Amino acid sequence: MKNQEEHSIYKVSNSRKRSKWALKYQEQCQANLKKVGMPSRNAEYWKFTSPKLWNTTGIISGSEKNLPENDTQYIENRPEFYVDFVDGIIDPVTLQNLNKKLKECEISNFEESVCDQFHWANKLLGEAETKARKSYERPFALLNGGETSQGLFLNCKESPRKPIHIFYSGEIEDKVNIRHLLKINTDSEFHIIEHFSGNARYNVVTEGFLDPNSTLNHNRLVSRFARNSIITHFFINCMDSSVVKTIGINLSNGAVRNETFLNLEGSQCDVTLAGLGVGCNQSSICDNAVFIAHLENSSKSRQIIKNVLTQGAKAVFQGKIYVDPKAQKTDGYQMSNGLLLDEESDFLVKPELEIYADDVICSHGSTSGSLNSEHLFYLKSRGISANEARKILVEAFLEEVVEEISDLEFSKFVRKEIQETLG
Amino acid sequence: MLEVKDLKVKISEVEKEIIQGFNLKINAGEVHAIMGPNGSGKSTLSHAICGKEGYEITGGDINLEGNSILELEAQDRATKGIFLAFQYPLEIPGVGNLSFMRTALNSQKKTRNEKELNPAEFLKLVKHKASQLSIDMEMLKRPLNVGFSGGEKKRNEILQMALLEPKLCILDETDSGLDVDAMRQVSQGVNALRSPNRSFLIITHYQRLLNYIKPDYVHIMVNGRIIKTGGPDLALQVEEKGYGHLNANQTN
Repeated sequence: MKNQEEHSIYKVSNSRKRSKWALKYQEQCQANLKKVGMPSRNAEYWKFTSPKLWNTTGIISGSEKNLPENDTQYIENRPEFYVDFVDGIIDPVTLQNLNKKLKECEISNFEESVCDQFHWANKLLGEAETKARKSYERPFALLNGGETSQGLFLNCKESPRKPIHIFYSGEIEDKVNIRHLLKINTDSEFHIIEHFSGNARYNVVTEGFLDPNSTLNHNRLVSRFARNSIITHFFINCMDSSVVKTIGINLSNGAVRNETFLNLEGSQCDVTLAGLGVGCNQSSICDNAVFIAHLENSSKSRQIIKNVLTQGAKAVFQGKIYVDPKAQKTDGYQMSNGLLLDEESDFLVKPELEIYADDVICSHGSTSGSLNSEHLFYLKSRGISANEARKILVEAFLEEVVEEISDLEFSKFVRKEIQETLG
Repeated sequence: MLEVKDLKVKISEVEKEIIQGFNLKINAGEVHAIMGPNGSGKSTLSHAICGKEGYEITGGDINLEGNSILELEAQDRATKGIFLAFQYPLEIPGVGNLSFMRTALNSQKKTRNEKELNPAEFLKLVKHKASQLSIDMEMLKRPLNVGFSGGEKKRNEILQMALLEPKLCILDETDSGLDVDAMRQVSQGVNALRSPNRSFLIITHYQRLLNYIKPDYVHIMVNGRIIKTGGPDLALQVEEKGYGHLNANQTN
């Protein structure tokens, strides 16, 4: 079996060469990374977790339990629209099938796209990332940009009737770089669902460009079958009246960091970020770093983060709402809740508001605590066992995030996976 | 059915005993009402009988059908047939009302080695019971008690009681926060559940609930013990003259 790097060399040497625009971007990433270097614990947005966790391979021991032979079997019925990435490499058959079925979008793989001099993405690749880097440096995204050869370039011209699922699975334990680029055209609505499982150390960057009045729905499930550290980047640029809903579900026992940057460049945008994490042992780290930039007037942003932690698990939430002087009538909301089931677990939170406009509504709150004993008694007084009552209340705590998922089939699947994870 | 013998209870954080030598015997099919002023220990008594954590039994015993239940946890007491209708039913977002009720009913059935109900069987049962309490299906689909009015919350408690078919029903100030119509509706629900095999302990401040649910006995509780027992007339006497009057008589 080839690893991702060997595959990439093979591909490049046997096909057309990358276009100038793609080579330029790749070189810039490498040069910028050389300049800024990989992060250390001294960096402001890395003070709660060590960057080393995402820079070295470490398969989590003991999490093989219940692991199906093929990771992707964990979802019983394959959805109608899907693409597989196995060991970090796109399965061309699944892409071909998707292209046949999906007439609303123009989809190509990364390597094919970057060889096309006139590809629609030639002015977009790296643009949202550059904007994100203005908030703070993103060395792992630069690392990805300098090395990657895999991913999807997707130009959504009309609204597909169902979500497109991406499955990442496989056995290699190496690092895997994947980069997607999404363009959602005016009046289109697009829903993408990512499923992470397998042994690879994923570094995934998704750049999204939303034209006026478009909608992007995004769900990310890092399943209980993901057995290595994972870092994701979700950099989205929003024009007038566009809508983003991104929901992250983390059920892995490894280190997972999600960096989200939503750039509300247009007015009257409406964005929601919701995330839940279930951490059941010491190796479980769920680290969310969110930056939402309100740059024009009358946009709305909402963040809801929920983490259930036990047996020494750790969760981090660093969420910032930035409001530009021009962004009057901004409505920003941020809430993070940690449910600590023992005294060994940690929920570390750094909420930030940076506001330069005077006519705004912005609020943030954070709580952490144990299960409500009155609620427990209420359930027990009806004959429900203590264990069952605790499980019901933990699931109820997470439900606020799950019910944000608009695809009912997927939300049902997520509920089932949460139950399996909680045991 | 229930026998409380010389019960002494204190709340963990408080030194003083809230219940001080409480005695009560309720036979099958009987309805007993306990009335008393604020702070007399009525709610503490109901929580102690139901096994709420944080209530320390420092003396005496509680027997259900001849067996002590003091060592049993709340869920086991519920399975043995004790039901508490809460004074303030809790709102629990994220827990569906219907799935909660089905889990409760099936948990009890499982413990008693009875056949559990599948979703269709349960739905049929709950629809039937809910219609008797004027509870519509929309209310059942909502999260547990979330956004319910005072009357809806209490009717939801009675619906749970009807589904679980307990042997001993404790109603803790069920009339609080209810208007006359809601009280009538709730009372009708309770009366429909009266049977020779089921006993009731009704805790209330006011006599008015007892116009709708006729008790066999009325007890007056002050400072953690019963100071007087009588028939329904005793409740009328309290309504007219207040608790102070009885308290003074007792002291004399």
